[in-house]
Amino acid sequence: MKEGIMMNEIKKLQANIFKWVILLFTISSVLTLVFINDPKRFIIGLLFGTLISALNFIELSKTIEKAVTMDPAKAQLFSSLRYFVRFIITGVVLFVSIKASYINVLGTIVGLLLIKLVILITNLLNNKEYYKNIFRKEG
Amino acid sequence: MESTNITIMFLNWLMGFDRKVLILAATAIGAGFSMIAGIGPGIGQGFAAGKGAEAVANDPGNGKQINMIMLLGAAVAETSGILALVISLILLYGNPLVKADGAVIILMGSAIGAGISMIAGIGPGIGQGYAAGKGVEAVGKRPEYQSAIIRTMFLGQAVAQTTGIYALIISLVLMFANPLVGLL
Repeated sequence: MKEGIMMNEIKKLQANIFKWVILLFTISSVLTLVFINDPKRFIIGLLFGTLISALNFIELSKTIEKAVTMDPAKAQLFSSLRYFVRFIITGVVLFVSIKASYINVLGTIVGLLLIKLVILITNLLNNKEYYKNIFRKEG
Repeated sequence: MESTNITIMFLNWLMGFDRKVLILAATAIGAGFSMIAGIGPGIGQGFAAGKGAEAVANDPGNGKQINMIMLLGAAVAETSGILALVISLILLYGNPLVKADGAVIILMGSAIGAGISMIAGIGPGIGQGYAAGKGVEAVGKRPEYQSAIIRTMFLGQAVAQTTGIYALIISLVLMFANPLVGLL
């Protein structure tokens, strides 16, 4: 029972992050359409990068779910090894984007970093109290 | 006397090669150096995972929060690895220095320097992973302060990323807007 609730919470967190990623993806696609001459190649790159980083994020979550049930020393090695697998995947994705003429590699780079941006935005800028504290006069 | 100086002998030998060959060789060294930064997130994520496993072993009831914090923290910790890959692949497939004008030795140095600059990515990688690990540890001890801990962790991670971004900027400047070539 407890296991089920735990899975649901993580799924919910992932869904929330992916919602934001889709929002940012749409915004950057629209901006691309307005400001860039050859938007198709950039948007394909953006989509490619975003999809791969989303898959990597799911893979990371699976790694962590497994790692926390291990012995600490084993968990350390296991998640480091899994990181290098994702690192290689990212490398291949960038390589393909550079080689393929129909993909703009800048779009792929932005797509790959989108999810990190979403995590920082949703966790740092979501509290109104924080801004109130900045503007509040001392004393 | 001069011919016995090993540095001068090396430089003379180096200048015997074609200009493009030298820049390409330097680019290869730079691309390799840049990839060293990939170690950072590996160590950092490993540390975070170790702390997570420890925290869950101490208090299995908190597994949900610990998993969530680790997932977010580790995802952010990966960023420097991606940036290192980007610079390394730009050096390999789109190095603008190959076609640049200027003294060959400066262009060579810039190609190697652009790669070496990215080694700084080890720092944010390890640091962010460390922050994620400590965040996990803190939530394991005090689950009621989860939101405050998450916020502090991400603030720290965002600040830790800045040195990695500086390295990226210097690396890009060396490749695309090298000010040293114009000084001659």
